[in-house]
Amino acid sequence: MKPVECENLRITYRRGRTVAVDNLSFTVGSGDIFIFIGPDGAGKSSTFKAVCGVLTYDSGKLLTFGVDPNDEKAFEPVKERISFMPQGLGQNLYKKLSVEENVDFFADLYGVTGEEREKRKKLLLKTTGLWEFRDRPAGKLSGGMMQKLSLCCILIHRPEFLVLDEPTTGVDPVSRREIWRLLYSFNREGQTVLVSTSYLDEAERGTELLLMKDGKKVVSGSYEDVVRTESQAFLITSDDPYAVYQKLWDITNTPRLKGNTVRVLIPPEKLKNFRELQKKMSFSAQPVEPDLEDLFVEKVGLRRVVLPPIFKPKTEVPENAVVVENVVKKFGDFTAVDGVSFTVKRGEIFGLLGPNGAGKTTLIKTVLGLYSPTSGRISVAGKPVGKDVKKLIGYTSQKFSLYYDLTVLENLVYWGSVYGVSPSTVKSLVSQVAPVFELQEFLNRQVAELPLGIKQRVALLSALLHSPPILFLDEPTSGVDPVERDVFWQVIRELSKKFGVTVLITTHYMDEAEYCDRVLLMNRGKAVALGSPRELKEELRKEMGNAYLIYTDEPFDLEEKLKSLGFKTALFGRKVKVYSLKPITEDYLKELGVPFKKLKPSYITMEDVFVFRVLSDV
Amino acid sequence: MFRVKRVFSIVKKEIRELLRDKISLITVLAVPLSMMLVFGYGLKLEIKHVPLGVLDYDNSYFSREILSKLISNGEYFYVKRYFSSEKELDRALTFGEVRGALLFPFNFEKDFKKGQGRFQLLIDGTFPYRAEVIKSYVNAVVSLENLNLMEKKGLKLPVSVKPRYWFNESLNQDYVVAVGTLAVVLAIAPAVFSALLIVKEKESGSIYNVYVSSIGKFEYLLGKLLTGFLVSSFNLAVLFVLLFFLFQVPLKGSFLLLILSSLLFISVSTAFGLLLSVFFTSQAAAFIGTVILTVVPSILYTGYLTPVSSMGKGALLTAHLIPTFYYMRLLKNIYFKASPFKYLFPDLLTLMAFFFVLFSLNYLFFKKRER
Repeated sequence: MKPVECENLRITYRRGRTVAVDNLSFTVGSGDIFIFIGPDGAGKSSTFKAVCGVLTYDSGKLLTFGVDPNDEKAFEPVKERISFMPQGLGQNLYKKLSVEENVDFFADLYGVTGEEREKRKKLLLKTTGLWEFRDRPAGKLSGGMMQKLSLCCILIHRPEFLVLDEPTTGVDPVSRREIWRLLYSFNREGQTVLVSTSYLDEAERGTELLLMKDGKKVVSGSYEDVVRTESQAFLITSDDPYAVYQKLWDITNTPRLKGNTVRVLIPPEKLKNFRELQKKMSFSAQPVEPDLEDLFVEKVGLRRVVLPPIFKPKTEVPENAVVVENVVKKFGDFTAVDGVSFTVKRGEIFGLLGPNGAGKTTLIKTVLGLYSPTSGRISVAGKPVGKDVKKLIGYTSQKFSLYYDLTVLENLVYWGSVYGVSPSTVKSLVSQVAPVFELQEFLNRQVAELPLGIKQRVALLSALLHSPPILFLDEPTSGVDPVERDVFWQVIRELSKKFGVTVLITTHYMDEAEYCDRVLLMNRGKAVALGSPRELKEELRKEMGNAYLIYTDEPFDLEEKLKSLGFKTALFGRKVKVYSLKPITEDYLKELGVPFKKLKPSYITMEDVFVFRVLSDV
Repeated sequence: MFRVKRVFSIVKKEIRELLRDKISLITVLAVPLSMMLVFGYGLKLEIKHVPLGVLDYDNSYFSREILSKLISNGEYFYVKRYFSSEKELDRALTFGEVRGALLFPFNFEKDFKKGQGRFQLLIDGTFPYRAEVIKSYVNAVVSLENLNLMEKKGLKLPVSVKPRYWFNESLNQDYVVAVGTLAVVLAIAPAVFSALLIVKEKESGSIYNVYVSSIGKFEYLLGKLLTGFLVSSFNLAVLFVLLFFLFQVPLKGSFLLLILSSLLFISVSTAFGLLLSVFFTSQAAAFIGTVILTVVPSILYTGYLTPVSSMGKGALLTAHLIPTFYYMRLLKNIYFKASPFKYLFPDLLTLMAFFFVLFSLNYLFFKKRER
C-alpha cells in the first residue's frame, strides 16, 4: 500500500473562487523522502492537509494508505499511522508547557503509555539534543530547537509516514542540517517522509521532488532528472559584469546578475552567439551544473526591468553611507544585538544574513532609529539618527506596511503623503513606473486580494516614492518564487548601480546573499562573518578545500566512515557532501576503502559558510 | 474508542497552561470577582439621596413642617440648597445641581388654613424613573400629612392598608441585586472562558495535533468541557464566599440545592461557550461574540433589572429561551423563598435539557478537520 496516491487533485477556497491546488498528480512510495518545493501560496500546505485528512479536497483521486481522507470515518484509523507537522515555528507546541510535558501530552493523545513511552521519549529527546532542556518551557526554545521538539512530539507514536510542512523555514542553517539529519535517520528506520520547503537549495536533499507554482506542478522526479536540461549553465566573471549582463539579454531570458558574477542558461542553438559575445567582451565563463533555480527560471522565463531616472535621489550622501559601531541592543536581560560593527558604502547592496532570531530586524530597527541602542554609535548619511535623516530613508518592514483594505493606488498616495510627496506627483510617478513594475492591472484593486509577489513590489514602490538615497528592506523576498525574486533584485541593482542608492537588506535565504555586494552573517545577535559572498566562500574553500558529493545507498555508514577518516561532511539525502583540501577522485576513494555509487564535484555554498563559521565560533 | 485517560490528559494540559500563563490566570480569576463587586455594589435599583432645592416665599411654620417631614427619613431626600429667587432655582435645575425643587408661594400657610394650601414641586424629568419616584414620595408624604390633620380634626378613616413584605422582609434591594449578579456573572464568565478554549488552539495551530491524532471528538470536547467546568467551579466557590461574607445575603433554602443548581448552570454556560468556540476562528471574535451573546440577554431577559412578567409577550418568550432566566428563578426561590425541591424540579430539568442540547450541538458541529 503506497503512502500517497494522488491524481488530478483540486482544492479550492472561498467556494471555488480561489484555486489553491489544481490538477496535481503524484505518488509517494514507501521509504521515500519526498520534497515539495515552491514559493508561498503554491499550494503545498493545502495538499499536505488534504493528504492528512485535515482539509476536504474538491475533486480528483486521493488515497493515503489506500483510504480516501475525505471519508471522515474510514480515515480515522489511518491517522494512527501518520503524523503531521503544521507550518510555522513551533506551531503545534504548547508554549507554556515544558519540553517533556509537550512530549508527554502527545503520548497521551496517541495512547502511548508505560515503559514504551519513557523509552521512546528518552531516545527522541536524546537524539535531538533536547534531553538536557527537558524542563524548559517550549516557548523559550530557539526556532531550531522548537522544530526539533515538534518532530519529537509527532514521532512519539512511531508513525509510518511523516508529513512535515516547511519544518526548516526560518531556522538557522546549522539547525536546518540537524533537522534534515534527523529526517534521514527516521527514514533509515523505515519511515516515509513527505516534506515541503520554500528554499530551493534544499531540493537536493530528498529522493523525489515536486516543484510547484500557483497550485500546479512545474516538474517532478528525482533531483538529477528534474534539473536535466538541454541548455548549458554558465557562471560568468568579468571586470564589468553589468555590461555583460545587459548584452546577455539579447541571447536569453535567463541571466541573473549576482554580486559581480552573472549566472545564465544558454540553449544549444544559442551557444554560438554566446561564444561570439564572450570573444567580443572577453569574459570568463565557467560551465556549471544547472540547479533547481536555473530550471525554474528557464521554465518560467525572466523579464528585464529598466528603471526610469525618476528614482534618482536628489540628495547626495557621504561615501560612508551607514556606519554602525559596536552596537549593542538589550531587551531586559536578553541581548538581541551584541556588539556589531559595519560600514555600508554609498551605492552598495549590503545584506544582513541570518536565521530567525539572529537579531537582523532589531539591528535594522536600531539603525533606523526606531529603537535606541543600549550602547554603540550609529550614523546614517553622515548624521546621527534623527528626524531629518528619516527623510533620506525608504523602508519596508517584514510584514509590508500596506493597508489591505485600500487599493494599490490609494496605498501609494497615502505613503507619498506620509513622506511629503503630493498625490499628483505620486500619480504621475506611478503612471510612469507601473509598466516597469507590471502593476497596471492591479492599481485599482485591493491589496488584500493580490498575490504575495505583487504585494512585495507595491511595498517596495511605496518606499521609493520620495526617491530616498538610502533604502532599508527587512526580509522583502520571503516566500516568493525565483522569478519574482529576480524582478525585485533587478530593481534593487538598478537603483544601486545606476542611481547610487545605498541598500541595506535582511534575509534568511542563504542563496539570496549572492545578490548582495557584501554580506554580514549574523547568529544570536553576533556578527559571524563579513565580506563579499565570493570572498567568504573562497576563504572557506581555502580552509576546508573543495566540496564533493558522494552518492550512496547507505549515507549514514558512508558519513561515519568519512568522519573517521577525518573529513568534514554533511548529509544530503542519499548523498554525502564532503570537503577536502586534497582533491578527491574515484581512485582516491577506493584507496581509502570508501564504498560509493557515484562521485561528483560540488560547490561551497553560503550555507556552508554560515554553518562552518557558526560552528567554529562556538 | 473512548479512553478516559485521554480526556484527563486534555484537562491536565489545559490547567497546566492556565496556571503558567499569568495574564490569562489573572483574567480568569479576576473578571468574575470584579464583575461581582462592581455590579453587586454599584448597581442600585432604588432612588435615594435626591438633592432638593427649596424656594420658600412663605417661610411659615407649615411650609417648614412639610419640608422637615420630607427629609426626616434622611435616606431619600436632602436639601442641597435654599434659594431666594426663581431664576437661581431655574439655573440649579438646568445644571443638575438639584433634581427636584419645592416652591412654597406667599400665603401658603394662610391658604392652607382656608383648606386651599398649594405648593409646587419641580422635577427634573430626564430620568423618568427617578422623576416618578420623587413624585410618589412627595405625594405620599403630603397625603400622610393630610390624614394626620384629618385625624386631628376627629375624622375617622374608612379604609386603610397594612403592607407586609414577604421573602425579603426589609425590602433590601442589595440582596436581590447581589443574587441576581451571581446569575449574570455565571452566565458570562464560564462562557467567555470556554469560548477561547478551542479557538486559541485554532489560532496557534496546535489544533492540528487534535485533527490528525486518533483522539475522538467526544474525548476532546469532554476534556475541554471539564476544564471549563473546573475553572468555573473554582470561581463559583469564590463568588459564594463573597455572597455569604461580604454581601451577607441570608440563605433561606437548602445549601445543597443551591450548589447543585449552580454547578448545573455552570455546565450549561460552559457548553454554550464551547459551542461558540467551535464556530469562531479568532480569539478576538470569539471573545466579543460571546460577551455580546451572554451579557445582553442575561441582563435584559432574566428578571435581573425588571421582572420578566412585566415585559411584553415577545420578551417573555425570549426569556424562556435563555438558560439564565431559569437559573435566576432557581436562585431567588432557593435564596429567598426556601422553595421545596418539588417546586424547583422543573427548572432544574430545563437546565439539564439545555446542557444536553448544547453539548450535542458541540459534538455535531465540531469537525476534526479545517473544513
